[in-house]
Amino acid sequence: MSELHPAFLLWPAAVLAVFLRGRAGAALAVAAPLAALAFLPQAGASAGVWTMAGFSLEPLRVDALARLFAAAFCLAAALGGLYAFSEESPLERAAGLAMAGAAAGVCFAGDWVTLFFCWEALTMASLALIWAAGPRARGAGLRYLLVHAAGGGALLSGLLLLRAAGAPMALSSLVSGGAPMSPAAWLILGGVALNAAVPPLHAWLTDAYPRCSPAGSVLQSAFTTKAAVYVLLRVFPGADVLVVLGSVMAVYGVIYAVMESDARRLLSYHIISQVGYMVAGAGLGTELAVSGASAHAFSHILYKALLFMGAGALVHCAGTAHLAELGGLYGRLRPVFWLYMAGALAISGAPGFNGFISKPLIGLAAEQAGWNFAATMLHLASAGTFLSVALKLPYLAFFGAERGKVLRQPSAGMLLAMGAAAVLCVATGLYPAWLYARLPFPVDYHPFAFSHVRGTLELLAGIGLAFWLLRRGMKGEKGLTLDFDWFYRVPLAAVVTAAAGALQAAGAGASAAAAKTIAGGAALLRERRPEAFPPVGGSLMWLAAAFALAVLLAR
Amino acid sequence: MSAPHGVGAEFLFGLIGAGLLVLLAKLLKALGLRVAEKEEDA
Repeated sequence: MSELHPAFLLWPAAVLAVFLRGRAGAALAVAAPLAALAFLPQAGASAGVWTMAGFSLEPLRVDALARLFAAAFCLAAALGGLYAFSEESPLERAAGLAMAGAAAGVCFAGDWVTLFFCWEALTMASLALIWAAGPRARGAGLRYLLVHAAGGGALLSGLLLLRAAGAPMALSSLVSGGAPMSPAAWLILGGVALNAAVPPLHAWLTDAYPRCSPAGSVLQSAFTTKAAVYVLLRVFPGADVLVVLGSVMAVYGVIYAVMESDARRLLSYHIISQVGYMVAGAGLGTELAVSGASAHAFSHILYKALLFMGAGALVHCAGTAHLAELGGLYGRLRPVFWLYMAGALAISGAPGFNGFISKPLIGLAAEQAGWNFAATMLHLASAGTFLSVALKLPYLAFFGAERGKVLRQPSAGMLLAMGAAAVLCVATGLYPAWLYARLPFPVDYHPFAFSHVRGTLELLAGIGLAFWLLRRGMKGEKGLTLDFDWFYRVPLAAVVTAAAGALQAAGAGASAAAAKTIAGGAALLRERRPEAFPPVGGSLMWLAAAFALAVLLAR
Repeated sequence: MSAPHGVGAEFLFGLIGAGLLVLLAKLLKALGLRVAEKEEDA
């Protein structure tokens, strides 16, 4: 039983979930990931090497790193299934199970071919989950497909170059000391960075995740970016560029989160910020950094699922997650508030929660490696996290003048899933030895040292005071946050529209039908288009990147 | 520059850091990164 691949349990369950209705389907969505978790292969296990079409495939290669990530993916799938227990959505259940299987497949892949197959399966399942939300997600799904096709293309091109150079197809690090990376490695890094939502390749995330169903967002938050983090830790440990990118994305994400007024989009920007810590950890590449990034990914999957459950509960109960339309909900949604706050305190790194025991490992690794710039950026991102997720969002949604109406109460499944996620966040936060024992490298760190507890409480108090002083300027307001997706919403859509026009002019029949289809695609690309938007975000991003590069070169 | 240490340093870092992030967010908004929603999208 120790050689059972979780995907061989989760993928058949996904197929079955398409046909099962009612409680049977709902129970399957919870039971299958829990069964996969229970039968996770032991570290050191391998199903051996298969030879197929000239390739040596190793679909099940297990070590502590793979096992930890796969365990987190199974937990997230089970929590998502429980959260959606009352919803009758077979396609979403199937997509969630397929995503969990694919993400576990990425973790256990011992060769590039298996990894690429599972990687693309993850993208397709994720796309199905987006489109399962209905017509409102159609455009976001198309843009997701477009961007990920480019990312998959970069990954595949890199793999083909590797193969052409005669490199072994076994999965191993592509970073060797201070030697420059090969073009193949850069292409692979580009493809993986896109899935990790590294700016400027991140806009697909904040575009698509908020448009999923509440349960869809919960599931989305767990898999794609964290599977990419796993590959970065496995293949690119010690790549300096990742330290810079991770530090920049940590701050980039929180600045946008502070500006954002839609709760689910705010949390989506926070995924970018939190994944920044892990990307930086991969770039640092030391044992402490890799263990810290792994621990933080595990923590993140749990508390981010809980936060998206809270925001999803707002959509379910009040019909919107837009902070401009919410307020004064505390009295009506008390359990949702407190459970959400457990996730918010966890992501903020408050003592007693899992963020407190995982996040500092990366900062400490950065300081030990002499990356003080990165340590400071990550610390600054912490300030923005507490400010936006634990103060701004709950303050505007649950307190103040009553604006939002509670149309219905959360289902028992929703509250149970939130409760289970909160218990896991607190349990791992109070008993860090359990998590530390499962990390890829031993960790000698004592999170409850007085100086760390005092420093954290001081930091949170300072941020709290800043919020109180500035709270009137942080009101939720209707509007649109513009980001890099402008480039395919506007110029690319214009090119596609022009192509459709040219086809239309070419004649009737097949070309007219094609023109109509292409014009429809352009409309989906253009969706949410502002009247006139100067790409200021892009300029600022490049400025930040140039600054980061200057710091890197000056080291 | 590195992450702050010492009594009071974290408090000040939190206070100033959070203020700075709010300021940056407002600057980006003023630059046009947050605009009126022309089309309802969710």
